Amino acid sequence: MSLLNKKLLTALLMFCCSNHLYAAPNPVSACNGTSLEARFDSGVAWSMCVSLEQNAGLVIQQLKLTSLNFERRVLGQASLAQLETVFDDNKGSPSFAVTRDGLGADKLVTLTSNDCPNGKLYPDPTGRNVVCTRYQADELLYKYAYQAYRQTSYFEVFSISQGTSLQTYTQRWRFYENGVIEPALGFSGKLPRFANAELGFGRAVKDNNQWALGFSSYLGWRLDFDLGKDPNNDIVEEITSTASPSRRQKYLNTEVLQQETARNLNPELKTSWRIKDGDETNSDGRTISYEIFPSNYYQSVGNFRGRPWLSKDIYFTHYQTCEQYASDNKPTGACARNALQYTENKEIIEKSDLVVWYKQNYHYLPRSDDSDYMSTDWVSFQLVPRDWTATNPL
Amino acid sequence: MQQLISKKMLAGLTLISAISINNSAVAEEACGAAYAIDSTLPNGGRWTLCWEHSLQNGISLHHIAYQPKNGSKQDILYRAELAQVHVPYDDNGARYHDISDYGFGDRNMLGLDEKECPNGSLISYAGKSVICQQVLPRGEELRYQDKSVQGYKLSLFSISQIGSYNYVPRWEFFDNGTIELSVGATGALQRFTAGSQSNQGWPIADNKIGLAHLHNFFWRLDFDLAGNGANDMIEEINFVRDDGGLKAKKEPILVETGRDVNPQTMRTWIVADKTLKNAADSPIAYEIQLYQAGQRDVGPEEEAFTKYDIYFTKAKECERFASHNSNADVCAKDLSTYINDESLEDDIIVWPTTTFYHIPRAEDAPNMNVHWSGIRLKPFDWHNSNPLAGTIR
Repeated sequence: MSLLNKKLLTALLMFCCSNHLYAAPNPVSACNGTSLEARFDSGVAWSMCVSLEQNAGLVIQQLKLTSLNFERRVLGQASLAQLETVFDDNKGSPSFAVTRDGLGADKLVTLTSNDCPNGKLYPDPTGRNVVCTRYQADELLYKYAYQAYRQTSYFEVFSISQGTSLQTYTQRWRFYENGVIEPALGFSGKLPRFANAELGFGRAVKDNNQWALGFSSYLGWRLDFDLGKDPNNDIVEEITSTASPSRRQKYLNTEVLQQETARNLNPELKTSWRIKDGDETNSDGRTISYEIFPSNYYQSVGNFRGRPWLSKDIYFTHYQTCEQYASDNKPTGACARNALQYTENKEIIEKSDLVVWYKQNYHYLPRSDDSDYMSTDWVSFQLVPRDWTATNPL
Repeated sequence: MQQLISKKMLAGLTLISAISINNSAVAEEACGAAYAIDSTLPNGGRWTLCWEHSLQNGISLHHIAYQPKNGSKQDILYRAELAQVHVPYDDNGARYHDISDYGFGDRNMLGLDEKECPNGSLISYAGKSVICQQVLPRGEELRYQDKSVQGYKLSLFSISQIGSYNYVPRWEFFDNGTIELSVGATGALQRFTAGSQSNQGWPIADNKIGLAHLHNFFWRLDFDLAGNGANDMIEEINFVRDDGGLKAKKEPILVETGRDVNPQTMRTWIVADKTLKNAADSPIAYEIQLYQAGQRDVGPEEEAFTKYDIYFTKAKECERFASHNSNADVCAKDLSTYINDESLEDDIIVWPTTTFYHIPRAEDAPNMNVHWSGIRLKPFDWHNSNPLAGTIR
């Protein structure tokens, strides 16, 4: 089955030299990694610099979308910026897969063509193939009766990290032809820990005396938005919907968040956030923006240890060079330890260089079906263009 | 009523002809060969089910059974269908009940052509191709260090047009036993108002505001684990702090009720068989994951069926739709009245829901890209061990 519909898309991939991989300063000039371009037949194209960091592993930089022959930057830099895991028995300290163990360097699994069907492999500086890119075609884009129908494609970039000897994490970014960005983390490996059944933690999956332990993994995504030309004029808008007393009508409310803040999802208010540019507009004169579509709400604030930073869903901060990780950040100089603390000095974020920290929680509940090899579970979310173009460009 | 099978499928069928013959007997028993679907996925794992067409539900599936790789076939669902798409607009100018009042079947079900069903086969009803059946790769199923197994899924979808909306009910059956039910919403925006600013919609062009609205999706799932619906049970699992750690607290749900997700306790539900256990002495079960529960809407008092994220009811043939149920003289009118404290001792219906709040954007015109809303059913102690790990063990 061909994943690549050659009629629908033409792929242009460029591999650029690299020998040193580290976090780029903001703003960035040259790519310290691999320059990738994904171009679709419609003229839509994504360009980005993919670098491999010792801590974060896969890092997306200078992500730009070309739509209607017009190129605009979306993200300056984005990556998973923490993966904090605690087992249900709460024995020992939590692990910090990004800051302590690292997802990059020798943690990156060597990939073969079997891991990357119909895709293309890219080496790290030592020559090991550790990044896969590929296209998935034949996805439905839209349908309107018998008058309109179109399929679409996306471009995918992933790497796999050996977290512990038993746990593997796949960092996967999908870039859709329609402008949607979908970061995801895949959890795989073997059941990582067991405990004596008498303690009552976890579940029996094979042996009734040794129960498999569940765990909570907190994902801290760092999204340094730099919409358009000027990286220093982004704005966060919170969108909510409130019902009338009869609940028959609803009213939208939009509010610019002026200062650094930590927020929670609220399904009743349908809370969402969009990042909009301070001056650039679409051809109709409406402000361009990207909206955050969260996911996995049903496990989102499980926080049995009562850690303050885990009680919030999303954080908006002003860019600071030393604010690198969502938690377990090195508290050097004026820099705080985690995303919640970053917000505490209430810096002005309206028309600033904005960083969004989105926290997700994945709780793994053991089951015999995963004995001893776990079916890969994915945790993802989406960034969706809102008024990026005046109409649907496809 | 002719089933079209692609050449690729035919080639596959001849290879496993012994199994196919066996299946057609099973299929004919439940629904007749023309309405039977039998798919063995490339890594093993086989799904057999029947489909039917009706004016309101569109395509319903029944007798859904799964045979794990190197395992034996077991029934999961006696019947499964989309049981309402409720679309209230923020201005209260329309509150549609698309399944019960308009119907996803008959003239509203669109004919599909081959290009809409890449690498798949089309299944016809009354001379019209209405279901696309595909086997699709789904990426990595499992990995241990440098060893991995790729996964596949059987995908079935149909498309129904209701007003300007085109809905795509989709059923995906994984080779590891997982089932994903979703609905794509595409087509064009249905309702607008004039002006340049509104708190009930979003300006999408000059003097044109797309009105904000909700899509409340409800499924009706009649579980019959291991072929017997009379001995299934529902358990709710909440995770609470205990002994310094986190423990699962399981509680059976014994009478009809509606429940909500709880992100603090990471609440989830399983439907379990009361008699059949796996090798670890755990009841075989499926977990119901409402992974898209981040938006919800409790509507006005006359729409009390919107109150909860999931409902559990005693199976009743006449309780067909989540709302606007017909036969009001013999049967209750919606989910809010189906739950009247009856015992869940016998056959149980699970009604999972998910909501998408659609604030239009400029990109939604002229053609609106599809947005998917869904829920997931995941094996829970269904197998003794991962059925697809054999090649790397």
